[in-house]
Amino acid sequence: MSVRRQLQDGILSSLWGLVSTHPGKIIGAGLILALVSTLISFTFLSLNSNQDSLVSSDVPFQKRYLEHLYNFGDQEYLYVVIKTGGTEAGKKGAIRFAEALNGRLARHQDLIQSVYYRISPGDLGSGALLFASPQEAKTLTNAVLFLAPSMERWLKDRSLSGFLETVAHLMNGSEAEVHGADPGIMVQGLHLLRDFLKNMDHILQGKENYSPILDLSRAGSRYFFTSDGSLLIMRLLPHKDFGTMDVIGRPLHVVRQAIKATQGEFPGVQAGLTGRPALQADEMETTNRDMTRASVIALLLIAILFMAILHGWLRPLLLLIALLMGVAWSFGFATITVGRLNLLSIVFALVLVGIGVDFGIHMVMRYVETTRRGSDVDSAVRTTIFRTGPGIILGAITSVCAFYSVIGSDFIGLAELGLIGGTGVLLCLLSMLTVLPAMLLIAGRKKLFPSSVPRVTGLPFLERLSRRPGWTLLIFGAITVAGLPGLLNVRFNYNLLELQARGLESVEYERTLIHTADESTWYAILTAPDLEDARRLTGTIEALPCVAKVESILDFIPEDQALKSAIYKAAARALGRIPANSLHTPPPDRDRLLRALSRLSGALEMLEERLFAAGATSELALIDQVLDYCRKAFGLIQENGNRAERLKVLQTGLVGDMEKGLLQLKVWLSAGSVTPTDLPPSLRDLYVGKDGAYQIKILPKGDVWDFDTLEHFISALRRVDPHVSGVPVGVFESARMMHRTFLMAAGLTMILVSLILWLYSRSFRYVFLTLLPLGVSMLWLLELMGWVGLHFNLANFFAIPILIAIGVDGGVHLLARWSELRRKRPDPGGLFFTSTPTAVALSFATTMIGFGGLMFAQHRGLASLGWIMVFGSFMGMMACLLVLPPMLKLTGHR
Amino acid sequence: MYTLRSAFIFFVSAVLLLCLTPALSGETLDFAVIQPGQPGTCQEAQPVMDALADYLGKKMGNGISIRGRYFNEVDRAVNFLKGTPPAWGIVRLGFYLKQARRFGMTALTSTRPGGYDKDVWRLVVKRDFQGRWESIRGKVLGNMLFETEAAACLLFGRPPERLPFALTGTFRPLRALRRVMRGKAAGAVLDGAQYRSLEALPLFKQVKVVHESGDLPKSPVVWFGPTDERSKRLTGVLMAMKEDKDAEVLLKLLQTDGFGPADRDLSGIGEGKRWMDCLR
Repeated sequence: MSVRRQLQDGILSSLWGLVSTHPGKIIGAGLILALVSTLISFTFLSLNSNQDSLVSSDVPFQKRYLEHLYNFGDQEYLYVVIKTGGTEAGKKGAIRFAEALNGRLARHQDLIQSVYYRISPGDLGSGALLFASPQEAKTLTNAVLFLAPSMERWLKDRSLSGFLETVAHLMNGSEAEVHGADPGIMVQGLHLLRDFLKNMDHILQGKENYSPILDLSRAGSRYFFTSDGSLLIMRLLPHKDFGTMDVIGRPLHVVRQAIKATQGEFPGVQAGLTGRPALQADEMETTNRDMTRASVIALLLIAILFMAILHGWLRPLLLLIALLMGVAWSFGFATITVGRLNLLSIVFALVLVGIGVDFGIHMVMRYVETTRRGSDVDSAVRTTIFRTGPGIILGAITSVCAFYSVIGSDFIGLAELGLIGGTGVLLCLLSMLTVLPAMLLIAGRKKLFPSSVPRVTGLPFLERLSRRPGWTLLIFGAITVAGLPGLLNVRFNYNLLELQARGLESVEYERTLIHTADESTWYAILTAPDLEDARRLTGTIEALPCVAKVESILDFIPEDQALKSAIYKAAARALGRIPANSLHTPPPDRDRLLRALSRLSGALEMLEERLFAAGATSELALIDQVLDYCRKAFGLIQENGNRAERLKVLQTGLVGDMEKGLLQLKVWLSAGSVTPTDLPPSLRDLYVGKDGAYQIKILPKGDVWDFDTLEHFISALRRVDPHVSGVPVGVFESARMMHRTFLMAAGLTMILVSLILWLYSRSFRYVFLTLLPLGVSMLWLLELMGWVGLHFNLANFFAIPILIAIGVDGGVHLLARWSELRRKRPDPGGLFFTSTPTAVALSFATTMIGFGGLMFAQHRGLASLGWIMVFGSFMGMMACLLVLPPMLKLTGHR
Repeated sequence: MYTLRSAFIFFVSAVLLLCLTPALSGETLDFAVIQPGQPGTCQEAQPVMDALADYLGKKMGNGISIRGRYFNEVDRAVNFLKGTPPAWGIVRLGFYLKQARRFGMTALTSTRPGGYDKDVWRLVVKRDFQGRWESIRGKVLGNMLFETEAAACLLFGRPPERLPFALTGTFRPLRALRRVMRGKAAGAVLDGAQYRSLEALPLFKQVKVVHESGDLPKSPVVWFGPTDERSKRLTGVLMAMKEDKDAEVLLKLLQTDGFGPADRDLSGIGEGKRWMDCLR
């Protein structure tokens, strides 16, 4: 007897000795350990759903990204995309929508840190007016010079009637010196006048109080429209909670509720939410829903299958208990060693269920087969341990190889999954070799199993197929060769957006954004130590054809500052002469008010005539409204003179607003220059890091989710500066790293498995035959994928290590049983009369059922995983049952 | 002999210098915008004239002096033209038809208010009016009706004395329309721009069109006297304004989309001939 055999027998004897003498204690100990594990897991095991933690911080691209994150803070936005239809009316509607939504979100500052959708003079600090073009500066100066005398006159008077008279006077245009003034200014003025007179009417009727009409800090706000004007973009920075699966679950809920409410207010405006955090949260929700549905279906189908094959509910229940104990111990192990689960390692329990249950199936099937042949309970359990145990251990070790092969990876997420999953397989094995036999022993001794025995233990009809092994292999060989062209069609699709469910709002709006020329939810980042370098980099990058837009602090440092400052000097001087203090405002005078309103009506009518003659339809409608409010106010005061008293509040508010505006204007017009330090912190901090470096955001052109476009974009930027960082770089490098890791893991697993099989058997033929079903099934799978157009992606590539694990497992068990039969008889027909092929088929079937529910998942990545697992398992089953037995017969292996 | 030759050279040089000087510097290109019946005052419109003069001065080159005047009354405009005729002007269609021969006007380009090449005048009355336009009696108002004869020919193809109602000019076309609604006038004539304005007002539902002119030319840009190199340069500058970013605001102030080629009907052929015959 070989040393290996002696060792194996020694271990199994000890195991049997322990199980047969202390089954209760084993179960008790396992149970206590499971309870303790569950308790410490609930208490100490945390979840880290931060995607940035999936890759080692020592990897250069990740290190740079984390440094950026620390330096400039989290700037991963949610994007509210508001459609305008490209029309002016649509744009106005979008602005109203955005303002209303902003108002709603302002109530949730604990969840939404900041909202960016417009830039207003108030956001730009004291140098706001330096952002105007020289022509605009001239126009503004002219307007100020034109208005200043009237304003000065009125501020000496400070009465409401004086104000109305001044407006009428200006409208008559007798002093018009507005060279080059844009008529658009008149329209803005009419809007303000309409709102003012409307407010006046409401105050006269006692309906409302004074509402400010002119807020200079908001005047001339620029909204974040895309260059074609088809979309208005709102960027929202949500608070993140990496202790929850969906990270931004609460903010997302609040934002969606706010959008829904705003849509109720503006039913004609189409808007939706996207951005990386929204996509991730939606993906998490979709996958959770898909997984839950698939799990329920799988559980039901597997339960029915087990009850049918294992006869009754007790055997499946015992198997399940043993499995759950193994999983619970694994949780305990994860808590003690790693202490947290990440977005990848969180699936380890599902993987353990898929692989661990197979160990139990082989054990229970062998137990059933042995008892059916008339053995007593103790003998049946002993036979199970001694005959099936080695195969299970070998299968488990090969599975562990698949998991442990990624432990050294820089992809921390995978490495942790490898450690926890691999060790979990070993713990499940331990449970199946100790707790399960102990429970079978006790239940058997107490005659708790049904008296009748299961009928489906063998698959005799397959025996006939292997009677002509040469022909069988020839036929399958021909099919394999015919399918080879399919291999050429298999691709690896890196596009993460194509993994997402169709019809999801975040996905659809992401596509909408992709089709616009200059907006993207992903942007690359470069840093420059000083403004000069930032200018140089920005210039170089803007010239790249793959770049849509570059954002930096330079956008907020105006050009030609000295020139514009000089233009504003005259206006500043003119305003400087106007005193600003609101100590006295005269009481509203009824008669003077009526005269002023009458004069204003006359001026408006004259203006209306001019607009009518010019065909200015929209302005005409506006002036019609202004006239209407003016006449109403006149009527209300004329009707009851005491009402004029109510206008005191309007007069005081107006004077206050005007003086405030005047002061603000004086500050703006006197500003000398703007440097980054002059900008408000809320703006500066977006572009200037803690270390004083300047951040340059680079938005890609085209569909950056497409890997070729992404690669081209990153390569182009790396030629400018190799230290480019940001989400596109992270996604690009992570995807490549994941691909590389999986390929290396698959290769390493195959080498380790081959080595272990050789060490176990010292026979290359044994290694070849064990791996034959795996090799054949993988080839068939790839061929089939090519023919049906199913491609690998970052979600389904995970199927390969699992398929390797269960594929090897099937070969190991069939070969073990074949050898066992050969030891009894030189010509061992009847492999299919034993329970092993049934157990192997059942193992594959459970995998197919387990993942089959995913085939119809909404999440396309999960669905493709489901299809590959079902195809792969089916091919594995076919290769194990139809290719390996004829090959064993043909080669006469023992 | 030497002295005589030097004197002759000096004389020839002086004559040449005197002849060439106006072409090189000190040139004027004053203009007048004549829009009889346009609401507002000349004083109000003067800043726009100055802005146009300023723009053209820059575009036409150094040394050219340009001043602009605005008139919305026929008599004052005619007096001005008789006294100090400018180089060019923008005149209303009726004024052009009536005064073109007298002041030697040549159409250079045409204005394009609202982006339209052609204008249409419409006679509108109260909606409850029954019958054809010929049955209208009383006063018909319109701001293009100060040139009564030209307006009658353009709109009805016959002189005013053969019309059953009186055409009366007004500076307030909207008020005229309201007078029609109150029954104080029989009808109002609106040009294309005014009719588009009317369509935007609630008043539109209370009126109806009883007669329409055919396609009419828009107000032309005219040259007073024989055209020359300067008129060609001016035409070029005006025609290029639509594409010029610097002219964006100015065009809005002038209430035109730009300047297009001169209307063929103004050269006295086709429709133009018919109008001229009517006026004679």
